[in-house]
Amino acid sequence: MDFEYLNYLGEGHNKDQILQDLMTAYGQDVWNFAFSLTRHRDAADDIAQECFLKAYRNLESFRGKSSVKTWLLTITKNAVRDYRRSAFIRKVTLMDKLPRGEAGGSLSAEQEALDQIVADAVWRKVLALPAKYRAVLVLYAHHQLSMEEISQLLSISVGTVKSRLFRARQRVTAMIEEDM
Amino acid sequence: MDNKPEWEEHLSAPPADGFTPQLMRRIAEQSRKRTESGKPAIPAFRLASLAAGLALVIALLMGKEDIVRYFSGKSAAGISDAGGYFAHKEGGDLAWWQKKKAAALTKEEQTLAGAVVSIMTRDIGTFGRKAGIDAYFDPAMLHLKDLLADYDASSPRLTEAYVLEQTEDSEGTIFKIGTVLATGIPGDPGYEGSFTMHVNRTSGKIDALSVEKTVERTG
Repeated sequence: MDFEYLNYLGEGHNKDQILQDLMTAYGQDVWNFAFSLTRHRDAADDIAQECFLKAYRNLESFRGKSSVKTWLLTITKNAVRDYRRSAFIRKVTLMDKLPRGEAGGSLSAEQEALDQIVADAVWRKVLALPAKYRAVLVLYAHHQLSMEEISQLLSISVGTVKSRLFRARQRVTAMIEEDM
Repeated sequence: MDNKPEWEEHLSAPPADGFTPQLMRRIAEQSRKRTESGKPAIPAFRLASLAAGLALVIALLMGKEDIVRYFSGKSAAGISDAGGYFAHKEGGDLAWWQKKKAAALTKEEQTLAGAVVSIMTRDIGTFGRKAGIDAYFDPAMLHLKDLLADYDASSPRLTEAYVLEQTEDSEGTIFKIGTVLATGIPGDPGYEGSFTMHVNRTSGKIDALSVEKTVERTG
């Protein structure tokens, strides 16, 4: 679907239809990027919703400096940042009073839930990477973004993108070799 | 660079199919509601942040006595207002907290002031690194300092802190600290947030910590 017309939106355009088209074309991309970063289905749902509603509110401000996909993925990245900062995941619980070992049960439950959602073994390894490596690898290998686009999206230099991609690949390869 | 490993082919397929027609309908519905009401639709996680931010704003707008009343109404069961050595909404910049630390009379007061000074000077050492703040934590709870990762950055950095709430439970004192973070960018209003720490009465050390929120300031 061609979203070139977004550059020239005037009065009277049908925003609801545009939203529908954006979700049809990029819904899975946005959700999967949010899921890759958070590793939680519910969080990915909320973030995808936040992303599209934000895009809906700001349709007129899109001026084609990046592709529509990169624009949406940038909104997604920012929504993930807000999500991580939110009280929703930062609440103190009794678990915080437990030493690390005793709180470990929740981690395996989390892993189990993730394993149920993600069938592919390679993806599971990618999702086990630290966030900074995971983001670069997912944007490059799954979303097919260029080094420059990733650099802009994550606000890091192209050199850093390259080194993170190199290390991400190294780590996943090592994990795969460990399993063999 | 493009020496792609074979396994990378797997990543062209998505990890999961999560963008369901139900979610699509939910978003379309939210956008319609937004258009009809003229108000933005806000997701649950954003609402949680906003609600917490609103509580902070209410607290800052109210006078000292009102703040005591406001927060005592919000106290959890079994927790009572402490007489306390910090007046509610007391606090300030690094110089204020250094002075408070030097003049601290009790272990709990010393721990709170010392921890705030450590955070303001970024002597935190999150994710396993040793740092000055370690002295104020119960050694078994030292991992909790990782929650302060947002404060362990050069920008935005913590510039002011205020005691918003001080309550006691059977084991010690709970301090809720409101924070102001600045970025150094001209005209940027920065961020505000809060964290809550429990200081054990016997050990005088922090044994519970939460970092509730960091939200952009509105002006």
